Amino acid sequence: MATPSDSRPGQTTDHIVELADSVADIADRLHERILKEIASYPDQAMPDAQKAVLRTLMDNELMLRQHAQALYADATNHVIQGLDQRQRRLMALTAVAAEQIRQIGVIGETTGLVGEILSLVGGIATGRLSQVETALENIRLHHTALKALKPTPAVKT
Amino acid sequence: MARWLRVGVLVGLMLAGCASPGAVSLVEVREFADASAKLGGYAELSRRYRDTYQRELPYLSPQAERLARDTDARRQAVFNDFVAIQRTLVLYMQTLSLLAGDDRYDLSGRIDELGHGLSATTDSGLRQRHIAAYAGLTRLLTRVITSRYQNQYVATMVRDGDADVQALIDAMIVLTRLYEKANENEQKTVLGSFNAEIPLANRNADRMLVMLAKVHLQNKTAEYKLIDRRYKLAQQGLTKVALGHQKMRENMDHLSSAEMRRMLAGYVRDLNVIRYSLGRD
Repeated sequence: MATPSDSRPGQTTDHIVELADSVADIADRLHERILKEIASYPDQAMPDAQKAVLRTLMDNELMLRQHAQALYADATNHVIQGLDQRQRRLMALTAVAAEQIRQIGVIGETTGLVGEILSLVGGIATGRLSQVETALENIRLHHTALKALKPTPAVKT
Repeated sequence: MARWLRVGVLVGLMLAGCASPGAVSLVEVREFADASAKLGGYAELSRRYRDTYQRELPYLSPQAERLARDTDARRQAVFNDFVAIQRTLVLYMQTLSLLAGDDRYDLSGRIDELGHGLSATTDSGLRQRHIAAYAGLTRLLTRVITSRYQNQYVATMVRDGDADVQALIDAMIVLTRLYEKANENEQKTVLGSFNAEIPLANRNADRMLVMLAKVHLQNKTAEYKLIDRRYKLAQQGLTKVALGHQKMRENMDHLSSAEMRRMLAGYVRDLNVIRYSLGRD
């Protein structure tokens, strides 16, 4: 029902919603990954250290979801203006990050990566560009490091 | 001269009354407006969206809670604007219903309800055209309410109001979709915590806790399943209202034609089914 006259503000809202959706999607992937890890201990005998790692990741999932909630509020509040190109680029990168989370073989290795994604999303939400750039660089480093560490992840989806 | 002019105006008005076949009975228009005014969902879902934080709170870590609290403040700040849109639309439909009715009503008491303009403009998330539509509809209602014409004014009201009605309904549909997304995210926060924590609790001492958690999870799953349906129903209802009004606008010259009456009766039926479904849960 949108008319041409409101295409510009409408687009901005749509961009924010897309970004929020992709953040929620990363949280979904992380959640799947956590459940999968839990299920891989059939006798429920997961070591405490491993449980601690999982709980950290669960907290990270909560944070991602709250960032998504904040962005949905932004979409209704229309606070963020003109994310356009920057936002599109970031979205492409967050999609890559989401895919990485799904494929990573060693779950402990996700902690650092997810931490960077949180920092990235936080930077976007509050408009702190330097934080965004640093986080992007770190994600790239993580990606490279993880590839070196686990050349052939055994996890299938 | 003045007397002739008066008689002329009087005759003109009578002719207008006779010439317009819909002036006597616009039953379907009235029923459509009534069904539109009574359609529930949006206001309730707006309140639910406003109260998201309270429901999420028990499941949040301290860090997530800080972020959630900030988001909560922003939700609270715009709530009144979100429901003001709906109140205006309801008032519009109630007014249209009265105009299309056979009885004469004094509507001047309703003017007070129009006094509350939208407060926030930059922060409220309403696009500029939504705010303009709100102001436009308020002006139109004031004009209609203070006028002495009823049936004859139905077509004018539908024609002059349609663009603004469409814009306001559009805003309500967009907001309802966002409410739905926020609710989905909330649902995953709540249910997700249990789905991960229950299998992690493996000590004998946790057995009672696990049992209680499973009961709670069952209840919460059922609650979200019920609420999920309501977002779709509300959007469907709003779309029907928008379509019905658009059809009236397009067929203004023959609102009383058999085809138009049948079509409007169809929308009324659909809206009543949706309202019934919304009321049942």
